[in-house]
Amino acid sequence: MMGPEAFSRLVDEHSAALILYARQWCAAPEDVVQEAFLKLVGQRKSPEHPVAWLYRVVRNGAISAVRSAQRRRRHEEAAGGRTPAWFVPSEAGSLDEQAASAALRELPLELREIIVAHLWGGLTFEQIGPLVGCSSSTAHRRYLEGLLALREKLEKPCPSQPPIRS
Amino acid sequence: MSESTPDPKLAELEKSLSALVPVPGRIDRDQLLFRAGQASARPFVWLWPTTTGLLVVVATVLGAALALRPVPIPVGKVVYVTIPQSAADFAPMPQVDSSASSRRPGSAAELDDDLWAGSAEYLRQRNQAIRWGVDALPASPSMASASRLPTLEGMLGLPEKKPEHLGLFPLKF
Repeated sequence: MMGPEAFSRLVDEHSAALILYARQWCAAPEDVVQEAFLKLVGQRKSPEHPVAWLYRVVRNGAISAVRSAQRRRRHEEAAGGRTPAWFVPSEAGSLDEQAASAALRELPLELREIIVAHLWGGLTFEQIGPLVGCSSSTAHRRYLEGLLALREKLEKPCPSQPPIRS
Repeated sequence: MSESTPDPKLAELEKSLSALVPVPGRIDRDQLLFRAGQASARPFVWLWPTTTGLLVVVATVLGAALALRPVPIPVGKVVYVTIPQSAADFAPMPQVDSSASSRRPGSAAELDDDLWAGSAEYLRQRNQAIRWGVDALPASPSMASASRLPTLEGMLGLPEKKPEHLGLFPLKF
């Protein structure tokens, strides 16, 4: 069983990225991530790679949550129409976070989840392959494909706001 | 597999994207750690439900065995009793002639034989009384020989006196 220090460090370091990962599917990613952490504590034997294990549990939980709450989510989206921010606003970065969020949202899910798991989750392609159900080389190829698509979207001139800051 | 990106423009984009910090979300860290502590403190949460289920199964099986137990079949037993019809059946059993002459008087064997003979006689008379009543019993030898008991006068060498009356209280006033 995992110790309290290791567990709190895991929460501090990976909860935000896990929420971003779960947000690719469901509208309430915090609940899914919290349940995943509690499942990790309930494991009698700690998994060999807890971060990869957490991403798999979050992915499964988010997919089942979106299936069970599909009708409600559709209703909420139709009523509200607002989407939560994915990244913390920052002036220091060279990339606008809203533009990056918008470009990411337009990507297909199979490309987007690999980019999120690798860039912000820190998973290797050997870990991403079993997670998304493909080989590591396929995961790498999809990652590059997603980056190319993102670059095309971000380089596209925006009339209101330039996507890339100088 | 190489994790690096071959295209330098893609590598730059990758670096810019990874610099973005995801929104931490609305996870209450303290509540999460508290619930994690609760979850980790219940490692044997399955113990009592499992025990309860097991005992319910055992109780159900025992109850079913008690309810479906086969009823024992009563066994009828006929006892035939032969009733004597002739008077010969009333004849007393012949006395056991113990060969007392061949044994030394006062020996252990003689005492044992006397004891057995007395027991046999007692059993025979008891069976006779149970079957035919007390009237069917023969006259008691003790009563028959009561008149021949030695008297006090005879034992002292005095002439014997005849009883004047047979009352219970022979008092003279």
